[in-house]
Amino acid sequence: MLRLIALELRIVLRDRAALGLLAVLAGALALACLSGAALMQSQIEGRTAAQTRQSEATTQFRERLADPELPPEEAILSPYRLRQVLIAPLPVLADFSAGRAPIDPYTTTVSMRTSRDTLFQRSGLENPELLVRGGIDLGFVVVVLAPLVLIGLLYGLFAADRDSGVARLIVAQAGSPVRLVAARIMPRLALVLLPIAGAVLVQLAAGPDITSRWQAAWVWLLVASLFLLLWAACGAWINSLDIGAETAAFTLVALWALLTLVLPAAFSAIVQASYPPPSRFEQIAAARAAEVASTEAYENDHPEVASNEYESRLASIRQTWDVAQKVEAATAPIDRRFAAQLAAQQRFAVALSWASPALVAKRALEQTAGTDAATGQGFRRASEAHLGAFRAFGGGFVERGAIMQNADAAQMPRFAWSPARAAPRAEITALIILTAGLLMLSLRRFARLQLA
Amino acid sequence: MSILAAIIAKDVRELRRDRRVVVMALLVLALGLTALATSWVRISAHEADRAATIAADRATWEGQGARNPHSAAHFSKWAFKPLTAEAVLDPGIAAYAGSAVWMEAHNRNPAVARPIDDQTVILPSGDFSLAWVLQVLMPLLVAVIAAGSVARERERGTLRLMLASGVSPSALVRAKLASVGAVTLVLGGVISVVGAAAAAGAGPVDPARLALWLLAYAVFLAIIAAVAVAVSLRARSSGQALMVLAGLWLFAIILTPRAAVSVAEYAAPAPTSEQFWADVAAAKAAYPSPFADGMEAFGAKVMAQYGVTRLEDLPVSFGGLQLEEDERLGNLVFDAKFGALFGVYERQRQALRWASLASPLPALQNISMALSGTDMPHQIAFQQQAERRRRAVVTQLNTDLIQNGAGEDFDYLAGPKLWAEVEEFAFAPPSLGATLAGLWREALILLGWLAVAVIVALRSARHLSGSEQ
Repeated sequence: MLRLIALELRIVLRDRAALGLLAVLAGALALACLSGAALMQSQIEGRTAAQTRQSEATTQFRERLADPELPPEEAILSPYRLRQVLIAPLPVLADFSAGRAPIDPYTTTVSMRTSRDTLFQRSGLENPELLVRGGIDLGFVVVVLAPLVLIGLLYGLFAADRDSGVARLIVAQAGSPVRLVAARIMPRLALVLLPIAGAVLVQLAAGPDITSRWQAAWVWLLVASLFLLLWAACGAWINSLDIGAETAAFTLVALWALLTLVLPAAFSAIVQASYPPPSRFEQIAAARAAEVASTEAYENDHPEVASNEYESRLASIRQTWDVAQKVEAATAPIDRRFAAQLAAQQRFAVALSWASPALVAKRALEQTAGTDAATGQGFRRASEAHLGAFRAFGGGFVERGAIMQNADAAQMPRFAWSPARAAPRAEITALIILTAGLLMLSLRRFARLQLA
Repeated sequence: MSILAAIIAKDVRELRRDRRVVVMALLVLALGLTALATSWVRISAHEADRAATIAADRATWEGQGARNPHSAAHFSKWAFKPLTAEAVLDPGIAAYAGSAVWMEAHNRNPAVARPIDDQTVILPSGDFSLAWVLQVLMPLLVAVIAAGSVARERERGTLRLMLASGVSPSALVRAKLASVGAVTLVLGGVISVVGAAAAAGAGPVDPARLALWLLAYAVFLAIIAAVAVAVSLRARSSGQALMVLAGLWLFAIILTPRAAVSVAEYAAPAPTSEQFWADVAAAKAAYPSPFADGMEAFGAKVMAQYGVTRLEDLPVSFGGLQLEEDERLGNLVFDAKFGALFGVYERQRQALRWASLASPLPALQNISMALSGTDMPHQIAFQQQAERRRRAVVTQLNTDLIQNGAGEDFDYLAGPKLWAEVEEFAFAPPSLGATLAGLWREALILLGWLAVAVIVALRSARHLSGSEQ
């Protein structure tokens, strides 16, 4: 068997078309590694800058609270001088599967003037022209590129022997071509999988030292291997049918296009049509109407400029706080509707995605990498919840007319959120079942093969 | 019937009988129509939503009652970007770009409400639209159609027969190009014409833009057809031709545009959002604010200008003048920082353009998005116009405060007359001339690709005469 595998390996390595495909794969992997490293670096730098701003804001605020000479008319404004920078934990494998990492915000600044709808207003400066084209990451190579390379190496697995008439000879001499087919699949699969595994090791060696990164990388590699094994099984099954190499190639390419391009596109259209998110414009208009309705009297947004008097400044920030609460109350139903619709959309998208192994693998890879939609939404929800607690904390001082003291800073709510990191067990199980089923089906067909 | 016409008729008949090709063609057509329908619904909903929001916002703005003009400037207005009817054909960057800008005092805000933020599904390969069907699926379909055009004749032995019956290799290549081209034209034409009709139904369209858009896709598909026939001419078997074409498709359609993104990000890295806003804040903090450390000098300058010795004696609102000066200084910062950011975007676009040397797709994408009004230059034009409107609104409100708020400053209240005078934002998209001026390189690249593809296909005739005769 080993000699047969070595022979097949030599045959593949002598085929210029196969070498061309492997070169494309190698080039894509190199680009994916570089691009993944750049994304990871940018994520780290963004968080470091946010951390620095948070430290500066904390130091400045502590100095302010500790200042014994701060006059009461200035000290009463302290809740409105308070800033907190919220930072999402670094995704463990953003350099493997970028997912939503280039799109979703991972830091934001909250203050007493921040509202839910303006919480992430200043994120999203990335060039949309690049975002719409997407980038290359290892996840893309595994889900989109590698299956097609594998198809290129496997499409004539046995069908080519049928075309040339050698198949009859093989069946006559060996009885069943199972060992031959297995010996042909293994080196071809290895030629696709090993460079991917190598790229994983390179990323691990070059990437940041994060707890559980290695563990996540192994899960990621397991999903990638299962998905490619599924395609190998698919190639074997198609070759076990009574068809020629051209039809096998056509069928495999059509199947790949269906599962990787067509079904995801169709699902996306169905999901958007079934659960269109409520209008963001409507949300904006509602917030503005609520703000105007809450400020029948003039609200001064510059209390420090308008007056130097303690009482009038306190009255001013009390009015600001009152307006903010009314706006929050007025927009809460719309926000809740929005969140519910998005959650329903995500549930429906996940349910539909089970019909496409490409989407199952993509989701599993992104979930493992910490760059999936659920993680991004988790950070948004946690930030909104923290904003509520933060404003309630500052608003308490405003309502009581109390001056914030140094000791009060310790009671300030701290943002501590980390995403739930569960291995994508359901997706892995589905891939195992599908792969095993297809492999058994094709091996059975090959074992019973009888050529007329 | 000439031999050429007979070959074309035979090829078309064979393709019509090939159930695999028919099923795939019907699938692509169905997807194209679905994409059109979803885009049409999305754009109609966006426009209806935008009109309703503008009306509601106008009513809120005009009904805000007595208020200090600066308080109103903070409340201010929103600019909403319209989606053109041509976006039905190619939504371009619409999903990834914000379509609403808050035009408030003191701050230049980025465009928000990106549809992608509310979209849980990100496709493995591009957004679903008619343009995506024509850019991604149609080339694959053309590859499938063309793969066997010559290679299958070779496998069957009919190629030798054709050549022996007096058909010259170059005439055969022309016939094959014509038959693949005719089928491609019918398939692409049906989708495109339905698309054009849908765009016309979605709103007013510029016929010249539409015609150029169709022409660009015709050139692109002609390139694909010529390359596919050339591969089929040189392949040993139709299976091999199909795999080579699938590999080329993977490289040119799927890989190159994405690789170009990686190269563009490397060539011109954009600042992180964190870094950008920190820089803006630092630059704003660096100038002498007329409300803080620059107040004394500014006050002296204003008093000298009005010939008074005390601020209380000014015939205008000093607070209003402070606000306007603060805006002027802030705008200098915004001009510098956003100018630099847009400069990075432009350098990234240039890097992307280089990818057109490896694949005609990036050039086509730029042309398609530009003619649909959904590319980055249109987005930047929207943001720039919104910023100009913001400055005009804030200055209008500050001017009212300056002229009528003497002695009252932040206690002065303006009324509905002023709010009614504030004009609504109206986006004026770049003209067709301006759009085309930015596309001449892409057009040249696409035509260059077409010329090379046709030459390669015709030169393959020599290969045919050498190997078969």
